[in-house]
Amino acid sequence: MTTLTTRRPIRPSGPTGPTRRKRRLDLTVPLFLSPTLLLLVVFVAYPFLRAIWLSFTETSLLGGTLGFVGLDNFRTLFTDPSFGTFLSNSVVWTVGGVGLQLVFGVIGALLLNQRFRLRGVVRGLAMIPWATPSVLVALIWMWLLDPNHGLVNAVLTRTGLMHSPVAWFGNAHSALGTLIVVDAWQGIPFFAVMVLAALQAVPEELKESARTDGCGFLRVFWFITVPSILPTVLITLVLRLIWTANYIDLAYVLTGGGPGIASTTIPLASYLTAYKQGALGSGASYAVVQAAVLAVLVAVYIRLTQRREA
Amino acid sequence: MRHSSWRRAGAVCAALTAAAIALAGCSGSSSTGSAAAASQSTDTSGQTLNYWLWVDNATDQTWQQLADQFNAESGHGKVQLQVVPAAQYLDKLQTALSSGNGPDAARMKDEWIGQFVKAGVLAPLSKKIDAWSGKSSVIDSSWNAGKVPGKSEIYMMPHQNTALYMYYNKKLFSAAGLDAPKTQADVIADAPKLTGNGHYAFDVRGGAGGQDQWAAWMYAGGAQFVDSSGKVTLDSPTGEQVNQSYLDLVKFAPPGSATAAFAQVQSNFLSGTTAMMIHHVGSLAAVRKQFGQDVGVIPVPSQDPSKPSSLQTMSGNVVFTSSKKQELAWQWETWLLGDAQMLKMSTSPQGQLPVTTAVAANAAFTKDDGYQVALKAAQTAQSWPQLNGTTNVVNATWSPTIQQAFGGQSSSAQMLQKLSADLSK
Repeated sequence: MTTLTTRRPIRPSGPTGPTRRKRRLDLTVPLFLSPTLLLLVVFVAYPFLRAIWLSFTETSLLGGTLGFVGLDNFRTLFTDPSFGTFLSNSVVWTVGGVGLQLVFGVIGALLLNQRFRLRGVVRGLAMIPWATPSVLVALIWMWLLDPNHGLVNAVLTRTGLMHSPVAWFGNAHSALGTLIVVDAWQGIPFFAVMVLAALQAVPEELKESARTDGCGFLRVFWFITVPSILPTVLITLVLRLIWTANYIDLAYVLTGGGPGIASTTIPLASYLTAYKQGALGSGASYAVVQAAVLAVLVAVYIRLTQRREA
Repeated sequence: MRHSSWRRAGAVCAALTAAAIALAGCSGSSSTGSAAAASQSTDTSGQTLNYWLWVDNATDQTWQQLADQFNAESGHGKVQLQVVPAAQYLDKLQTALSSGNGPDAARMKDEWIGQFVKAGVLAPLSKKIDAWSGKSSVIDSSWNAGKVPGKSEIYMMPHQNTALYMYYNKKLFSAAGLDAPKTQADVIADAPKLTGNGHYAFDVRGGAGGQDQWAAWMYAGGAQFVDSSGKVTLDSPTGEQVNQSYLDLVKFAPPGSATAAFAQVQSNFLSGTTAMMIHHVGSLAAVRKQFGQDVGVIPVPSQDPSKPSSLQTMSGNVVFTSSKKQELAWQWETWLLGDAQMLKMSTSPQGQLPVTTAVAANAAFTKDDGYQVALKAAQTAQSWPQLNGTTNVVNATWSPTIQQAFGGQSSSAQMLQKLSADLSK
C-alpha cells in the first residue's frame, strides 16, 4: 500500500507567477511499515484466511483439499452430540482455571508485597511454576498424581484421608477438575506478579491519609488498593482468559482429552480432529468457532486498554 | 482511518488468528501422491537417502550402527537417519508429506498403510520384489503385511514382526492357588482372586497403544474385524460378547488403567501390582531382568484353545512416490533384510521377530521359550485390517471410544458400532 502525502504549498514570496500546489509521493511511512506489514501478512493474515477457507472444504492431511463443502463442516460440528460437552468443558476449564488464578494470584501478590526476610528470593522462587515448560509441568503432575505409585495418593491413603487411591486423570468426574488445579498452579505466579507490580504503584501517601482518617486494613484495601490495581487486574484477567481458552498442552499430555471426551475442549478437539484424524477441514471449523468466541474477549481487552491509555 | 482504528483492527485480526494459525500453517493443498518420481538409475553413488524412523529403545544404537555399516560399503549411496519420537511419528510424517518436505523412505507399520496407499504416496514395490533374488528368503506370509484388502500390490517391505502374547506373575498366581490361564474364561474366573491388597489382575490399557492388546484379546476370542470381501464385521454378536468380557476386566484393573499407556502398564506389572500383561518380545528382557524365573510367557488366552489367535503387527519400510532416490531406498531396504543385519536387529534391545527364514531358525530364537511362544503365536495371529480408516481408529478414535465404554457411557455394542463405522470410512 502506498500513501500519498500532500505537503503544504510554499507560497512564493513575491508576485512572480501563479501559486502551484505540489504533490509529492512520500514513501517514508510505507517503507518503515513494510517489514511489519509483510510479517503480519505472511504469519497472521494468510494463515487466518487460509484457516477460514479450510473450514469450508474437505481437506485431509495426506490427500490435500478434496473439494468445497460450504457449511457442511459447521453443520456436522453443531449437530455432533459431543460438541455440547466440548463447549461446556471449554467454559469450565477457562473460567475455573482463571478464577483460581485470580483469587490465589491476588492473595499471593498481597503476601509478596509484605516486608519480610528473603523477600526477593521468595519472589523469584514463586515464579518457578510459571517459568517451567508446560510439558515438564505435565510430567511432574503425572508422576505426583499417579494412582499406583504417586506421592499424592500415597500420602492421602496412608494418612487415612482416602480409603483407596484415585485415578485423578483417569476418572471422568475428576479429570477436568484436576487439570484446572494444575493449570492454576502454573498460572498463579503470573497473576501474582502482575498484581504485585500494580500494588507497588499504589501511592503510599493515599493509604497513609486514609489510615489517618480512621480507615482500618480492610477499608484501606477496598477503597484505596482495589481501585488502584483494578485496571491491571482486569487486563490480566482478560489476557489470561484468552490464553487459557487456547491452552491445550496440559490436557493433551495428561489426559489426551479423556477419559472419553471428559476433558476435551474446543481447541483440543480442533487439534485432535486436524492432526490425529487427519481431517484438516473439520479441525479448522472448530478453530473458527473458537476464534469467533474469543473475538468477544479481544473486544473487551481492546476496550480496557484504550480506556487505560485515555 | 484513525490511528486507534488501525490498532483495533490489527489486534482483532491477530487475536482471531491465534486459534486458527496452527491449522493453516500446514495445510498443503496439493496431493503429495501426485508427484512423479524421476527416472531411476541403479547407480546411486553420491546420493544421500533421507530415511525416517522411530526407535523402540532410545538408548539402543542398533539402527545407527546398521546405517554406518551400510554407508561404509561401496557401490551405493548413503543413508541418513532421522529419528522421530514414536508418539509423534505418524503426525509428523503425514504433515511433512503434505507440505512436500517428506522423507525419501520411512519405517512404517502395517496398520497405517491403508491411508497412505489411498493418498497415493507409497511407491508400489511388487515388480521390484518379484525381480529380487532375496524374495524367497523372506517368510512368505510376511508380504501380506504390505498389502491392502482386495489388492495384490505390495507397498511395504517387511522388517520386524510382533506377535502379542501374555506374561503372568508366577508368584501371584501361586499365592492365589491358580495355574496359568489357558482360556479367556480362565482369565475372567481368576481375575477376582488375583485382585485385593493392592494387587490387581490385569491392566486394560485404555490409553495410547492399548488398541493392540485389545485387538489381540478380540482375535483370541474369535472376533473378526473384516470378512473375506473386506467388509467390516467387528460389531458381530461374537465381537460384542468378546468385547464385553474385555470391558468387564476393568473391575479388576488398577486405578487409572482405563487411560493408561504402556509406561504405566509395564510399571504396574514389574512392580507386582498386576498379575498379567499382554505385550510382545520387546519387553522380554526387562521382564526377565525383574522376575527371573518367576514370570511365565503364554499365548494370549483364547475362547477355544484349539483355535488360538492373537494380533501381529509388522513394522516395515516404504518408499515414497515423491522421492527421486527410490533406487537407493530400495537398496537400503533390501540390505536390511540380509541375514547378518536381520539377526543384529532382531537380537538387539529393541528387536522383535525376524521375517527371514534363515534368521528365524537361529538358536537365539529356537532355544528361547519366550521367542518360541511368540513365533508360534505368529503362525495363527492376525493383523489389523489395512483399511483406509484403520489409521484413524488406531491413532485417534479407539482410546476415547473404549474409555467411554469403560466408564459406562456406552455399551459394548455401541463401542463396536462406532469403531466399525470409523474403520469403514
